[in-house]
Amino acid sequence: MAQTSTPWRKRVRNLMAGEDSLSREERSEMMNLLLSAPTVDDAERTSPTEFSPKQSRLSLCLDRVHKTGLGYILSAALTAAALLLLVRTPERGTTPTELTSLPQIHNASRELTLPVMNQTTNTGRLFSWRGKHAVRFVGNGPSESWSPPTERNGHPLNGSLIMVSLTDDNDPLFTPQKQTTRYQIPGEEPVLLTTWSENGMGYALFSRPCNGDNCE
Amino acid sequence: MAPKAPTTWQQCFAKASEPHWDALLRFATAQGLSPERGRDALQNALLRGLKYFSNYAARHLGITDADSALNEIQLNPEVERRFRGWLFQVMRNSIYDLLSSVAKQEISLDDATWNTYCDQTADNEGLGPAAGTLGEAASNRTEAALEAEAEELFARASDDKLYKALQGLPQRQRQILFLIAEDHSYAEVASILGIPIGTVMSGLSRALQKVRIYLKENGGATRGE
Repeated sequence: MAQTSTPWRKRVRNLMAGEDSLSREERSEMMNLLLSAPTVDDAERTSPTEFSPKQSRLSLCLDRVHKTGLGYILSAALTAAALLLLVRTPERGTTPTELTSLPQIHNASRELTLPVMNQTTNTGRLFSWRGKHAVRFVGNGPSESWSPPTERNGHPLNGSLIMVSLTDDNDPLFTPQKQTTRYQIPGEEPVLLTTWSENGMGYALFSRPCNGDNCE
Repeated sequence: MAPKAPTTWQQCFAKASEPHWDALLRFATAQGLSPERGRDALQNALLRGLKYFSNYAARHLGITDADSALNEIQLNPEVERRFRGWLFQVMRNSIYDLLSSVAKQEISLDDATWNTYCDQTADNEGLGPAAGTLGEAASNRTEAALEAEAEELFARASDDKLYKALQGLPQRQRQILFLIAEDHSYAEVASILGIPIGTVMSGLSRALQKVRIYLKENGGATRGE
């Protein structure tokens, strides 16, 4: 039954929440923000290779080798090298089906700056991307959640903990995540290693990228 | 003459949601968020809502293009109400995210935990020893009886006492009371909060009884005194 606004409702509304409303400027800013913000449709229009430029370049190279007729031996060798590269690249350590659906975290196209409840900084970042299970880097959280409670350029420093929450990306109601877990991040730029699911729950593992000095 | 460019999902969502921004902001404020954090919650909720708006329209409204979605929401009151309810659901989760951050608790974010969180808040915010024992018979009341009781109760209470009584209500009861005050139907409140409609009615009944007891004990039953 649709309710009609009665005096008691109006009174309770005003008493509980006051007359607070967005100013004209705030309203305009919000409108501009929404008009330029991404939707799921935008994400779907982005091809998987755009999330992985390294992989894209490799594919182009292999295509050229085939076209110039250098032969199967060379292409096989390059393919083997590419496979080795993929194995050694942290974010590739997952199954092929997951690879196609999970971009690298630092290439995530949907990166928003949000205010967070952080006593040491005023900014935080929200990374989100689509996958078998949508995995959401919630942000930097309260400073007590971090070890050490510092960050740089929105990225957690060595030893930081980040909070990862999981939800069903197809749920238009954004039912709160089923589980919130903290993961140790050994590097400055967390990179998604892999995701998996167990008993209907999604999990994610992060690591730092290999940049020459820290390759193991 | 060039044909009119199709409405984007962004334009559709911005136009359709804009009339509800203030109500969504008040929803956050009524849950105890500061005006600043209420605005953070609103922005977060709107960005979330926009991101998945096309999915929502396709699955829940059966609409697959932004032009039609905007028309339906603006011209069809039933669709508009459903859209508004969905916005409040998204806002509820956004508020919850902020509240859980404020509470600095690492907790599971399912409805059971949400209820526990609200119950804990209720324990902390109860209005005296009688607060926990009220409302057992509440769910048997009809909507009309609850409406009449609310009308009678709020008509004769003074503003300051009533304000204090409302502030003392547990989180869940504040949510229910506020959403009803925002002209949501009981069924819509149930959907927004993810609880049975009977819980909405019993929650409202308990809230009214607590307000009544507070006013009685604190002499705030007469408006204008």
